[in-house]
Amino acid sequence: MTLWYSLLAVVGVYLLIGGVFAWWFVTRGVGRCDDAARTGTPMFRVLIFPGSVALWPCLWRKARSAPREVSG
Amino acid sequence: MTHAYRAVQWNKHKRTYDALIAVGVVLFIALFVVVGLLQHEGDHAAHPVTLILRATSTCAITLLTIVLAIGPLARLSPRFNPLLYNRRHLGVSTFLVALVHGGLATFWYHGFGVVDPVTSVFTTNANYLPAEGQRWQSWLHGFPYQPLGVFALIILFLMAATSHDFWLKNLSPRVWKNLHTLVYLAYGLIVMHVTLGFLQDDVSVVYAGLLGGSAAVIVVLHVVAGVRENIKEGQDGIANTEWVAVAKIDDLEDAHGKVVCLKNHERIAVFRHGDKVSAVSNVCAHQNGPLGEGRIIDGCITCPWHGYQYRPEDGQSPPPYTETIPTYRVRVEGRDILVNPEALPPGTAVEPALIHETVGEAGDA
Repeated sequence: MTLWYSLLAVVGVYLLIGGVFAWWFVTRGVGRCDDAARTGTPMFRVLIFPGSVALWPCLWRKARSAPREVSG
Repeated sequence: MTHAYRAVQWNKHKRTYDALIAVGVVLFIALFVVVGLLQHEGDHAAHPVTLILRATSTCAITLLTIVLAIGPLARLSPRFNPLLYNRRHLGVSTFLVALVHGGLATFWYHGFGVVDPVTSVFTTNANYLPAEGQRWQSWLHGFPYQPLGVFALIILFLMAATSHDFWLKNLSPRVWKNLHTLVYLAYGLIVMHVTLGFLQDDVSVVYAGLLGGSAAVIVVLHVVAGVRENIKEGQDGIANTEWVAVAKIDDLEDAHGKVVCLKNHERIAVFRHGDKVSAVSNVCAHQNGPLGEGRIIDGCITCPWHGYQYRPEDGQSPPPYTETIPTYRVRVEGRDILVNPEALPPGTAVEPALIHETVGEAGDA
């Protein structure tokens, strides 16, 4: 049973990080990865939030490799 | 040119389709519960929560069975293509119904103890491995079947959460396709989850029969569709060898296609990629998706339905995939794109036609 407790704790931490990342991603980071998402509707951002929590390592890697936005 | 993402690309047909799904699900669950309440009274009466759990599980399995049946049905007859085109919403509905079932079951059966409900699902019954000398029938009879449902629910969640086109593009079509192929694993887990639940709860054999029948239908449909496609392969062919003007250069946006229908009703997808033009069959080798409505992503024509990819110059899926589609000879004369309607064997390499610089800068609207 210790195995299950450990696994669930790891999953909990993973999702916690994912939640923080996803909040940043759907509000700011998504535009870096995909031009079409830059002007995406609020509902679109809500819709991709759960997937961003679950798959945050993929998106994080993609956002890191994307060119930075030029302000102004 | 790119389009801003929206949550759902609504149109009249999709609204009607979604309304039918919603009404169907609510009616199914309501009827199931009402009939259950009327059928058993007194000492044999089932608790309403138990009935809702059974109703949502039966509904979710029915929806998933329909989802899995649509693919081979559409391969057997184009009449089912509209269902295939709208299948994503049915898949999301399946997840939502399964989520209600899973959430309710977790809190109803595990929400009143000292251990938190989610942990309790995995730890209450620790009979994951057979004890020494235990017979396998006895082991199966006590196997913790609820975690199987949780794993299936996680897969359904991942599929529902990544059903938007944003994910197809940003996860890459290959990863997206592999992720969504997990639906078959989810179906297997659900079958085991329900079967073991039947064994342990002594549920009516009618349910067991319906579940077995549904699984059998799915298997048979996939086999029949596959066999029929193999037989049909190679029988089609067009004798007409005249070149046909199918589009103007200006009609084609870069990395996008156009579907053209020839006199013999053959549909061809003509794609512009940079200063080149290629033509392939409009029919995806996977489930007959309309390739011409897709886009070129990572240098490959990408089916809008399930992300299957083909190189425009030879109609072959990039390795390690092996799907192939017919290609067509194509050439550019002035601003006209001409296609030879004689389909070449699937996977045949064809030199793309070059758009000369003098033709103009069309398609960058």
